[in-house]
Amino acid sequence: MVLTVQNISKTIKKRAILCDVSGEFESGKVYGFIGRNGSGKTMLFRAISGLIKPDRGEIILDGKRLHHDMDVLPSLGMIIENADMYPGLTGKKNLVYLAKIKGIATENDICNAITRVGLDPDDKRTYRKCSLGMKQRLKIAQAIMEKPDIIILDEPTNGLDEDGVKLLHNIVSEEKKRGALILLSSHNKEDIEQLADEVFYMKDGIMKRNDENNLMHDKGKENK
Amino acid sequence: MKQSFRMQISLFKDSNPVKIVFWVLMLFVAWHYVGNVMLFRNRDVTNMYHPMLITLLSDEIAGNEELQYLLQMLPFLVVIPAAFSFIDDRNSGETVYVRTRLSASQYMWGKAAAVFFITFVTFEIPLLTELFLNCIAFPLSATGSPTGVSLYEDDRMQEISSYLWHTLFIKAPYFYTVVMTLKFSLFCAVMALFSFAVSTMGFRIKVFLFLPVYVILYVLAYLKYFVNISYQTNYFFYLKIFNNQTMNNWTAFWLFLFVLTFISAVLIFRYSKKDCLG
Repeated sequence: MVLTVQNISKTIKKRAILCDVSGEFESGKVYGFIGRNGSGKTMLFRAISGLIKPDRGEIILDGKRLHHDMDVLPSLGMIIENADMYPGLTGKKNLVYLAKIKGIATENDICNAITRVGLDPDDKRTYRKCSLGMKQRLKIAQAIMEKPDIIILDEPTNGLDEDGVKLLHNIVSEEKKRGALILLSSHNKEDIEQLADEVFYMKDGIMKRNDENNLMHDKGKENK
Repeated sequence: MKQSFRMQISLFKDSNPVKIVFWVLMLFVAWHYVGNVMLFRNRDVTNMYHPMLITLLSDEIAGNEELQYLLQMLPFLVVIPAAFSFIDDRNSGETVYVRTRLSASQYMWGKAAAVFFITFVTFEIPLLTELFLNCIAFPLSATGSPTGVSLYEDDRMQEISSYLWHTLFIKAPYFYTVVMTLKFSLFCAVMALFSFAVSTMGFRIKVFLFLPVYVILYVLAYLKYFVNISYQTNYFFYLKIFNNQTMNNWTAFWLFLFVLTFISAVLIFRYSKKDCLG
């Protein structure tokens, strides 16, 4: 499976959010995205997932164009900012409702996903009462419960403790082994360095394949 | 759309607002029904009224307080069961997860269908329950009218001829009453759909969503006093059954429902073309 991002651009309120971004991503690999806040990582992920429609360019999955041949990517799991769950329901119930949309994940798959992120499927606490880390783990569970072909993880370590981060690393490795294409962004360069097969650097909506110079430049700025 | 509809229906089935409004309506039905039973107990069948003429929506009984209260509360009741669902999704952030699994149009049309269906059913079941209870509790052979005018007198026939689809009433009064409850629930469902569609315009504070339906219905009700309109514009007169309907303009009523549905469809279509940024 090949996901191609072809010259996409997006302007919101006269501000260029994505500028002629291109890239090719294959299944069974982890692609890391680094860049400062507002550099366009999340917008790129929104465009790839179909949440926003680029002004120019195409997202192509195995020859099929997003927004033309398909409305959404057929098999996608995702964590992204501003996405959350119903506060009055338990974690499992939230996942059950989401799973009903596609009807792929069974109750067993849901329980399995919750267990994989280190939570108890029978926990009766509502989502509102969960800690930040538990909420993040549930979001990871919703992203993997349907065993998707493409997984987008935007800042997945937010709110996770050390154990949670380790758990996430294991999950990313397992999903990669399963053959999933994983797009991962993180402020934490260690996460990216350890997990990603290829790294892209984003700045002002422009995406570049990362090389040592970029990393050094970035590190130098942070040290200052 | 089917997938979104299925998900929304399962959500509504467990939803407290749906349960609350359902039981409020059941309470109205029970209040009216028990009142009828107390009033008509021991009454001879020859003096008894037709069981369909004494239902909650019937205006035949003088001082049907329950109906007045129900109609006054209606602009609020129609919004509560399902119309908040989009605000809930957006405020919680659930929209994003749903939209990664479904296209925006599938999500919104499925949701709209579910809002319409759930509101319709929430109102229809209590009303049908009352018809059923009336059939059990009161003699089916009774033909009297609470107005006191015999069915065979000219005045009564004149009044009946003012009813919407009155020939149906003459041929099959039971079926007619069922159809009228369906009309009532349809009205409620269209109002809920409209509120839901308006919520896509950026309402974040839930309580403000009570306003659109309330304002429209009450502006229309008082329009008659400011503009020279010869027919009734108050929704009360269009939702009651067996009231004197000579002043009603049914074409305007159906057109009103059609226009609200059309506006709702435009708003939903407009939203489904928008980017999902949060």
